[in-house]
Amino acid sequence: MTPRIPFPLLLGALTAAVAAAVPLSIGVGAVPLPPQEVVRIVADRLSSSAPADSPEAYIVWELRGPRALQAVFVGAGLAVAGAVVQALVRNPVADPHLLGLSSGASTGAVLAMAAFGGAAAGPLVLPGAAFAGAAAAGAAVFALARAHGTAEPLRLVLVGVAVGQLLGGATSFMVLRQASGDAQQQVLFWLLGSLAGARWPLALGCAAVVTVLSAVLTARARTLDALALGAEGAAALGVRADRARAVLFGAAALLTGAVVAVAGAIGFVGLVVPNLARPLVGAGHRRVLPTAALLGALMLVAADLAARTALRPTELPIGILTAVVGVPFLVAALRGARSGVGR
Amino acid sequence: MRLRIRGLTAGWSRLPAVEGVDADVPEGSFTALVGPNGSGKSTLLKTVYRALRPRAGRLLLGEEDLLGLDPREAARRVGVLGQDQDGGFDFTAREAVALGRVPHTGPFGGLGAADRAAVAEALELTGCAVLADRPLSRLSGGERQRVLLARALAQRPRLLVLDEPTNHLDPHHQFAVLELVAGLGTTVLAALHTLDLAAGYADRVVAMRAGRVAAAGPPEEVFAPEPLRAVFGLEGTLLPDPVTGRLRLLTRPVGAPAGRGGSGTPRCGERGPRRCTGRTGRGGPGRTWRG
Repeated sequence: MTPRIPFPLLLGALTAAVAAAVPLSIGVGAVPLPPQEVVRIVADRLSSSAPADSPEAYIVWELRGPRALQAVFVGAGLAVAGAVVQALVRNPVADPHLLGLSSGASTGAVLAMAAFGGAAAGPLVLPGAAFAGAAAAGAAVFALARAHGTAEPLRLVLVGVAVGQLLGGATSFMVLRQASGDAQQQVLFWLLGSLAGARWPLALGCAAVVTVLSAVLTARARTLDALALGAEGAAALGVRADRARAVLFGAAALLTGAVVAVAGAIGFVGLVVPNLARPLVGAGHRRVLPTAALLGALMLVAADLAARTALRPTELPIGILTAVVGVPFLVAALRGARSGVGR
Repeated sequence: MRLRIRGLTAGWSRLPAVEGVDADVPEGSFTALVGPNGSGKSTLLKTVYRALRPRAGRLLLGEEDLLGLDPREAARRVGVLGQDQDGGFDFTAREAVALGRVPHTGPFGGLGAADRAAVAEALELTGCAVLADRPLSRLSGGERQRVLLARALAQRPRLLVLDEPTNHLDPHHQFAVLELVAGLGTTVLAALHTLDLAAGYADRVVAMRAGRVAAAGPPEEVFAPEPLRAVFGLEGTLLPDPVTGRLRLLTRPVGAPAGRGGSGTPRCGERGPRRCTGRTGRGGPGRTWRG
């Protein structure tokens, strides 16, 4: 096997990469700004609370700043949720979409749109509905998958897929019933995901939820390791699989909800990033979760940059980019010496 | 530490797989649990390592009620080598063994000096130190079994529970696993399929049939012709291994015709069990592991 990079070094390198990618990404756009200018504006803004006094400062602070922050935490959140879900179902091809969580968020948002009439309802209604939808879908999947007091991995996947299909159908139905093309456009946002229109309050809210839940989940990393051995293996180590699965699945559902609520259902990050992290640091979740979070952040910042620049001035849906960026990486990782997957 | 099983009834479906079982695992003994497929061995073991909650009965480890303990506390006392518990993800051997410290570590699961020492010792004892950084997927069946045994040892258990530890292993590794376990001095409760191995390594045998204890005692008694026929439907001959002195059990179908040389062999069970106790005792010479 190839020798691994020491974990602290890897973590430091990834953190530095994210810290470097963010100002770079903020600098790219219709008004290009060098990274040092971006850093200066942000530093000014953070040291004095004076409002933006130049067009550049406005662009950096009000338009591109929240978007970059959102990219970081959406990427991190999706990656962590993916890694957790994969451990829970003991399968490295699972992700929050497979278990119906993102479908729940989309359905929640579309329902709210139909009921309250889209943007007119205020900025928090749709994200709130999406978050509630993900949480409700998570609760439904878990409750339906439970038998003999515990949700076995295979049942969880099957029920998740079924509930996801059902919710997808419901969402499509409601989209077709939406008369205006404008409303359909809005619905597409939830289905494909986008970072456009990021604003501070929601971006900060998402960042807070992702940070807290990722920390909680990392604290339970040993429990995730034990669950990867199955219910009986976990029991032998003193871990009650039924309770642990409920708590961890709930956390993953809330994490997905927080992310999808602000950015829509961005695919592929939750599936691919944990599988990129494992060859680097092994299968232990104490290392996989932080590594995946940073890789996810990096991937989404890069994908967002590509989505904004590839067909300028048209912006591509970011979900297309995550797939285009993710697939080659995944294939390369799986073909590599040690994938950390299967045997 | 000794385990007493009293009135244990357990199972997954409405029909219990184990019913009213009383059994003892004496302190420091190697107790083998034997019985035909479906006789309830695994179910019984699962209640001991708390993967299955029994419907009735008590499990006393020393003087403690095992079922009343917090799961973590129970896992600090009972180490398990189960079946198919190596996970869907590719841990390295060291990571897999370190999981044995889960019941001993705090919420963040960081390994302290004592934890690392226990992991290193378990790797050393099982001869897995050289495998430590290899992923489980790159290990042979015998190596993987040793790693999983090392995990159970890293729990620093007072009772070691083994569910078919020799399954899927070639004869060399079957002996190697049992030599190692028998040499530990820990109290062991092991379900074994191969009666010959149970005869050779166990101080005490509990034979199950249809969810109940059919016979229990030293191997000389449980593998005597009468219980052997009743529990397993087999005829058998117990005799000491000419080299190691461990008991061996030759089995054959009931009523098998005697062929060449068939009648000349002394039938240990027929002459009374006491003739076959010339064993060298536990541990023996083969404690080191040659993988």
